[in-house]
Amino acid sequence: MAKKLKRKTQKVHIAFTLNGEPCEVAFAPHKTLLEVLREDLNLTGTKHGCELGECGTCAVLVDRKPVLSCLVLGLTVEGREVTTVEGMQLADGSLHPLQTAFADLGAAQCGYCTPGFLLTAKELLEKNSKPTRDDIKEALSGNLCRCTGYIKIYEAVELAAARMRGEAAEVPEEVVLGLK
Amino acid sequence: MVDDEKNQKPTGDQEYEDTVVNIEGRRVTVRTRKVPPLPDWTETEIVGKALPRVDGIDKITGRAKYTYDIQVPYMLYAVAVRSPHPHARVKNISADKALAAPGVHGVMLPQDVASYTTAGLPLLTLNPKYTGEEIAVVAAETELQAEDAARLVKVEYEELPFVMDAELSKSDKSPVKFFPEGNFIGGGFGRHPIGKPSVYSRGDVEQGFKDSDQVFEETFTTQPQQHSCMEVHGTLAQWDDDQLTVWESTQGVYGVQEEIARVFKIPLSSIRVIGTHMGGGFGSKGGAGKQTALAVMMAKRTRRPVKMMLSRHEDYMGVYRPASTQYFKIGVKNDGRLMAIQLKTINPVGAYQSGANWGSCAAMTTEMYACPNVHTEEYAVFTNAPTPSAMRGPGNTQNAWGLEQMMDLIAYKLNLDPIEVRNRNDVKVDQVTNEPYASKGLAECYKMGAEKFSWEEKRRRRNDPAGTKKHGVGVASQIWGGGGGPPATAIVKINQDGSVNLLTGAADIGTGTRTVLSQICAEELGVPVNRIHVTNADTETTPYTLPSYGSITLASSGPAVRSAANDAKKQLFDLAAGSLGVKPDELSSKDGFIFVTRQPDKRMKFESAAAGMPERDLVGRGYRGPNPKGQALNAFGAQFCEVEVDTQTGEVRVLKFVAAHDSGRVINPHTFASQVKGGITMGTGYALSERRLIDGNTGIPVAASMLEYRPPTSLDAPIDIEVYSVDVPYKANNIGAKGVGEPPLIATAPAIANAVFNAVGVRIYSNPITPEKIMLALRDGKTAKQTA
Repeated sequence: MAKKLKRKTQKVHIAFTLNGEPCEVAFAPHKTLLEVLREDLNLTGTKHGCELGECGTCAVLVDRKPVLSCLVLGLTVEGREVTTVEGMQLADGSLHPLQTAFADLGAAQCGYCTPGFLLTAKELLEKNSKPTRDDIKEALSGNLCRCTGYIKIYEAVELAAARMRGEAAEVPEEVVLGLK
Repeated sequence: MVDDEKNQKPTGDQEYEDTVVNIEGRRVTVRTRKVPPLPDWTETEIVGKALPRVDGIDKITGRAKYTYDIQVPYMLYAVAVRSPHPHARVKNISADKALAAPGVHGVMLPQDVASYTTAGLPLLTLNPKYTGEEIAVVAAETELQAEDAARLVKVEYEELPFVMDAELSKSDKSPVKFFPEGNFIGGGFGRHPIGKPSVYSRGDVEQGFKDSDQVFEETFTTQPQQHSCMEVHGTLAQWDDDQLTVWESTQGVYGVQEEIARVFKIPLSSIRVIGTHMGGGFGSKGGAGKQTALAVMMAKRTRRPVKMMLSRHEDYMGVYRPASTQYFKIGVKNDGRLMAIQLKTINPVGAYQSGANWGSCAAMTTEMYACPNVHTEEYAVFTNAPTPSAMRGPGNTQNAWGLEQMMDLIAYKLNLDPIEVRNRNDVKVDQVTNEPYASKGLAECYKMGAEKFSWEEKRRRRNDPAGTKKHGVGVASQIWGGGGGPPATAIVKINQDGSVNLLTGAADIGTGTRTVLSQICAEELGVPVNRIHVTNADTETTPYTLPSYGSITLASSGPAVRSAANDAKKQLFDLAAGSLGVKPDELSSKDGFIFVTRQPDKRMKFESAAAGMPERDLVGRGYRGPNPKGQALNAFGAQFCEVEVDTQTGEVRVLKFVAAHDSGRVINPHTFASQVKGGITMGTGYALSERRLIDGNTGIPVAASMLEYRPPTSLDAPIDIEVYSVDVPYKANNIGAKGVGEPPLIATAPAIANAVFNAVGVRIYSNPITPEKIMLALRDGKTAKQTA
């Protein structure tokens, strides 16, 4: 199957901040940020959902704002700051309160949409430390989940927000009554 | 799959027997070994606790690797060339240009794969029968190169007449003849002759109608529903000499392995299928897909690993829950007793015979309520559409839309409470097999649900006649299998430090399988759940189990895990008994200690016992035993719903759901509630927004994206969902649990439709209940029958 090498792919080379660390990467210029992260940087925590900007599964933060990484070219993040789920941990290496709350409540079921939800919620809590249920729904309305029915996700965001405000927040008791 | 011929008589001392497993509504007889019974759990420490998921951290850190995430060196990407026509003949096909394109390593055409089929479907075809059917496959170094090269495969089509409408296809006016005997077949599994419906009958319906006080006739239709898994269907195949490794986003690694072995005639030992993390299935990933076989073949041809993930668009051009038209005629006495039910169903199932497996939806009508006279006729009709698949509660979910609205309508006409009508027709015996239910908590579901929902109070409330936002309440019930059964095997390995490996072939498709099986293992061993590490869904390292379909996983693998843990525990007790100076059967274990049952202070640490193992580890095996003979194993539930209908816009908001389910013992309230909440949200989509549309004039799918298909977003999902378990004891397996994966979806859509009727007095007979249908029905002051 040896073929003549007649193609010439010109890669572009950019530098940006990825999860708080300097990063340089070379890639074919047509690649989306999603593809650069997953294929060239091997950070597959950012998921591939629709490549049409419809499901929110690929959301990452660029300069702390949620961006659908399937809709932007990798080239556009030159010099900017990108955060993926792999970089959500706090500076001391501990999990972000949102991560802990999602795990505590089982807000991740199949888990495929979870990174997108976490990053979108992270930005919400940075803007609004005490969001109402409606604020949360509005902020997360671009992220699809087919497993959970969303309610546990809202509860996890509320729990994380309370913990981040320093309030003593308990994991809500699961409402499955009738159990002996 | 289970093959009766394989089940030979044993000659050793192991005893086997035949047992019945209910999988997606079909009763399969399998031979299975008898296993020693274990005592019922009376008090539990770990089972029944709302523990966090054992794989939660992997999922919230991005560490969990799904099939789409796996990248291996020299991997190629494969992309299919698909028919742009709903029915055509390929006159000419040429791969020359594609093969010469940059990065391309291989192109497969129909002639290259002509001798292979998977699930009754050709891998590639020269005679496409639906838009999107695979014609060729291209593999290249990057996805973009593969997509570009796929466009360079030159295909000349002769377009042929096509038929999209099931009634037209079924009639003698159909422009397409799928088979000489006709364009339909009996719906459902089993062998049916072409040109005849599948029929179920008991009693005498004509006499039943004569004996009725009132007879109601109505027609309901349901839209196809698409799974919309967040991770698309896909496969990565890698050959190392003759050893094949396949990563597949699947509900059952063993089903995929068996299919690859069957298609390519290679030994099972040469095929490793890995499906540890997967991004949702809902029935669509029950076995190997066409892309599985294509990736495997392409990898062999190109001698490179090949990844074939569908695009979201391709995913939406693929499998789905089939549509249905349900013609109901029900006769009742004035006290609400059902006297006769006649049901004809039309189920369009695409262009291939295998689709007819899913072209059946009458089962719920035959078994849900007491009725002496029942006659159902089911037509699986061929059309130029893709082949359907199982989808969460296949059949019953479609049928509940009709049946549960009929029950509501009957209650309304007879001026009875809908719950009263259902209770008057309650049964304790399976109406089809005459077997008693091993347990049935449906009456408890009505009682508990009604109380928690304040059903009677809310039903008495009247809307302000001048207001434009009308509240309404509705109820619907469900029945499903979920009893599980063999084969399912589990292995529990105790290590010398007292840590434990649990090996199970079962998939965790987001349901929490890993978590609940770990809890069962920890409970039986008497150690904390964090001592258990579970490995699942890998044919090389974990033992056989059926795929995670039909809500069978917990009730199949759960008992096997308990048996395996018990086997391991007994072996450890043999060692510990010497140290504690008693006989092994005098020991118990709890909280990480092994102790003398009658003298709990005489004890040793679990890990101390493990440290004394001469072989450094021990292995417990567990098999799922037979189901009890002559009992029907079913899960039940009732769902109560409150909606608000805006009479100016036709918009429906789902304010509240109360779901009471009978699934036996709840292993983990978190995962149980998650299944129910997720199922209700999916059912809300089925009721209100989801619609897969294929243009009847062109045969082209026109809603093949998430935006157009419309699965519920956070703004569309029910605002509040309360989940209850009625906790009726169930003794048909050693963990006392039934499945809950599919049941929550079945009752949801009709509960919403019934609530809409209660709110505004119009009944919507076709889903989804769009604002347009409501506005038209309100304008016409009648029920929206004709607004499909």
